[in-house]
Amino acid sequence: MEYVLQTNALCKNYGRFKALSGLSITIPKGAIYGFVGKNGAGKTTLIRLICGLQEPSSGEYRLYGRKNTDRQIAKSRRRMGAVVETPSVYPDMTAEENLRQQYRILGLPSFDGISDILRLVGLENTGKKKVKNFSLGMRQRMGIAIALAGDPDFLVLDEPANGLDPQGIVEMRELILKLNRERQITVLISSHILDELSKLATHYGFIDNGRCLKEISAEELNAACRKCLRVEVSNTGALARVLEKQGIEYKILSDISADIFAEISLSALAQALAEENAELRTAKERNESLESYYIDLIGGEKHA
Amino acid sequence: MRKLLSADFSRAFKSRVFWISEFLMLLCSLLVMTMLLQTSSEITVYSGSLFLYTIAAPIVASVLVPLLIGKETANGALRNKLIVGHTKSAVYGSHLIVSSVISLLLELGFFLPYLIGVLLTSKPDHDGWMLLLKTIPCSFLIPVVFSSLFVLICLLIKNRSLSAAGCVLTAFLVFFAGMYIKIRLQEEEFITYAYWSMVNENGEEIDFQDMPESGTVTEKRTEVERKPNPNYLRGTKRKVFEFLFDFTPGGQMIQLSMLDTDRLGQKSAYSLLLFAAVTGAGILCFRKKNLE
Amino acid sequence: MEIHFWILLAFAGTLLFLLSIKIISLKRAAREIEKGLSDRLAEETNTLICISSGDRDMRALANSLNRQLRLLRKERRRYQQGDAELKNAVTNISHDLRTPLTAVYGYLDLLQKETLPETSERYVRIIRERTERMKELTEELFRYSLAVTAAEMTIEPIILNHVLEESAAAFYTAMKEKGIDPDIRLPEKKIIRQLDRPSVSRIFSNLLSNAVRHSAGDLEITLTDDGTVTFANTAPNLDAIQVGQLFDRFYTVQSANNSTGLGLAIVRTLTEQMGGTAEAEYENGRLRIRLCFPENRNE
Repeated sequence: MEYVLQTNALCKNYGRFKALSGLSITIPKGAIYGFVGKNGAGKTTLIRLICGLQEPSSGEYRLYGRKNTDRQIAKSRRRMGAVVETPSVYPDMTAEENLRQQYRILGLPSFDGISDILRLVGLENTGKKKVKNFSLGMRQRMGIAIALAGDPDFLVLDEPANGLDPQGIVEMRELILKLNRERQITVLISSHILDELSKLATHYGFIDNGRCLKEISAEELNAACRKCLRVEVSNTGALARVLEKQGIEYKILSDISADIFAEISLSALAQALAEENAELRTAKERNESLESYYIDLIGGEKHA
Repeated sequence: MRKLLSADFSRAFKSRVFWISEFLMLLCSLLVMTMLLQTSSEITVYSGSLFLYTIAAPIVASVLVPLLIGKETANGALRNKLIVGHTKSAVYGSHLIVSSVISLLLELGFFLPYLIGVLLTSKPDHDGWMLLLKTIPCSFLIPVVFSSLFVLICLLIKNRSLSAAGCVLTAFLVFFAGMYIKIRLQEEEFITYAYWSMVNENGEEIDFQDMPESGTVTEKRTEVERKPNPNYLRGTKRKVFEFLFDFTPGGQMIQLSMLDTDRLGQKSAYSLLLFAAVTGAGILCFRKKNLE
Repeated sequence: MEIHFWILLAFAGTLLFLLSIKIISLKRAAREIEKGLSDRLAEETNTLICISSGDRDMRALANSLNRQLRLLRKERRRYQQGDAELKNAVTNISHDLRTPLTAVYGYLDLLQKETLPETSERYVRIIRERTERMKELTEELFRYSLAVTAAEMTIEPIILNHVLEESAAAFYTAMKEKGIDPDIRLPEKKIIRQLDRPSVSRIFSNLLSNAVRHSAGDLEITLTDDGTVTFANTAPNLDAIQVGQLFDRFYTVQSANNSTGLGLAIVRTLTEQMGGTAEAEYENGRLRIRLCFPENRNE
């Protein structure tokens, strides 16, 4: 298994504030890695470190097998593209000029691929419009275009859905999937919007207080997310009694609804409820969402 | 670093402000020449007015350099360079070289038209040319030292307006420091209180009203008191001031405008030393800086 | 006159200096291009060749190479996709052929039970032979798709202990989630066999994934000194007949989880390709899958 990024007990302190305390994650090649954590958990700090903007206080990381202190790290970085927080652009230049500038910085021998990139991100019709006059969504796309200028194998996106309208979010998602599928680009997305991530990610890394709580693949997550049966009854008290007798795990949601975490025969349940003078109204199968998994994980950590 | 240079140079030469500044320097040059031509019929090759560029170029650069570098630091475009693998030292170096070249070009924008004026209007003056050639390395180094200061300020301060203000302030401060040093060094050693009086042939003082019909009248200066000037620099203090006068770019530019051409080699060496020190400190701080 | 001499000398000197810079820069550009090209051909990457020099001809060279690299990558991707699709199609078709074949067998059996005139009996025999032949061909088709997938096997000395440990570690999380506590027994001695590493990994991960899916809660993995790997787990839902058919190409016990059921068939084929044997037995509610990798591999 080839790993694009491996971090080993990364720490970063700003004065006395510990932004990262021993973060260790691994990103396999070809993955779309969702980096999940609340604001201030350390997501952006990690991204700043691996992009070479700041040095770690302690610990190390490897990009494509090369250590961050290696003199040849530039070769690994050449395969990276990133959009860190706000898109890094030259506001007084047009989209094409911005890309040309990046091409020069990379040392690419000609400006051939520029129109293709602009078409890919949807900025081909901006003409002479200066980037400072772009809307927020367009600026985000400009940032991605610049990140794609070097044909990267590894794309780092820091909260890409930030400030985008619903249409923009969908387009962004489509773009990321396309890049991952067609160009085998490994993507690291940091986000606190779990809903969007769940549609994209193949791997998850949960971070809180500068540490990695858990790393898990999407398949394992799906397996772990507990299936439950959401039932609506006339009297949850009666339901509770019935379930307690059978030793089945459940959670009461309200006076009339509850979640049952086991395989249970509906007819048997209905009968048992009838004996308690209660009614089974509806039953629906549900999958625990990424959100609740995350909340449980954080909550678990707090209690641990 | 060549890739960075190509990128930074392309941005600098596309910048309209740069070309306007060049044009300004050209205008200055023409202005100075016209003023000179009004007083005399020729423009001498080696004159203090030529070296005005050592003052003008850094001041113009103090606006231009923050403008160019500020665009990168303020909007994070600097990050794009680091993300794809360029080192912080390379980024700093590239900005330094571009700023230095810009400063030199600004100088030339004044220098070359002046030279043309000299060639057109003055008589061949071999000695003058020789003197000019000797001072060129020293005078060209002055704006380069200023560039190193500007680059340090611009890369360490993220806020564009702050860095621009810092650069302009630095330029003027250095200049005024140079002036101050000159003024202090030029102080007289003694303050003399004296009076002038008319004296006739016999050496007697006479009033102005009693001027004789014939005979010679001379002026006589009688010193009444001689005090040491408290503002005069003595001993080590003087040595320090003299050293700073040679060491700082401010001092050097004032000296050049006074056509003081002693110790040129020493002055150039000082400039290089200062340049190296500022750059070294700048690169070290930039590498440690936590960029966002 | 002397000054003219010095000026000429200075001029010549600068010219020489500039020329040597140009030559050095060209050589450097050539080196960059060579290194860039060889790196990109060796590694799978999207990046293109970059150069620092501004020389127009060098840049044109790099540009042409980049264009070819782009084409090469596009073709490679297209090939890989087509190849994957083809393999999928082959495996699916050989799977789908099973059903009608089974039906044919079934009805042939019924037919043979009937009393038929002699000619009819002969016809039935012939049909049966031909159906056998068809079965062999489907088997070959399946083996072909596997062989193609496996590319070339590079035989090298493999330490079975390590590969087994690695594979088990990779499945650790999945096993834990299922509540399976694996019991791994490895000998002190390092068991070395001449095998193809990716195939061995694949065999083990198929067996592990199968165990995770069907085990009732336990898993025992044993490696013995003679190179026999055994995966044993409690499987209450099986019976002896099903076990006998487990390795048959497309037999699955529960196809609820989108498993094509090829996993164990692949295990057997790959093992046999490397000169080993794969068997399954069922005793007291426990399923035992045994792989033997003998010491000497006969080519």
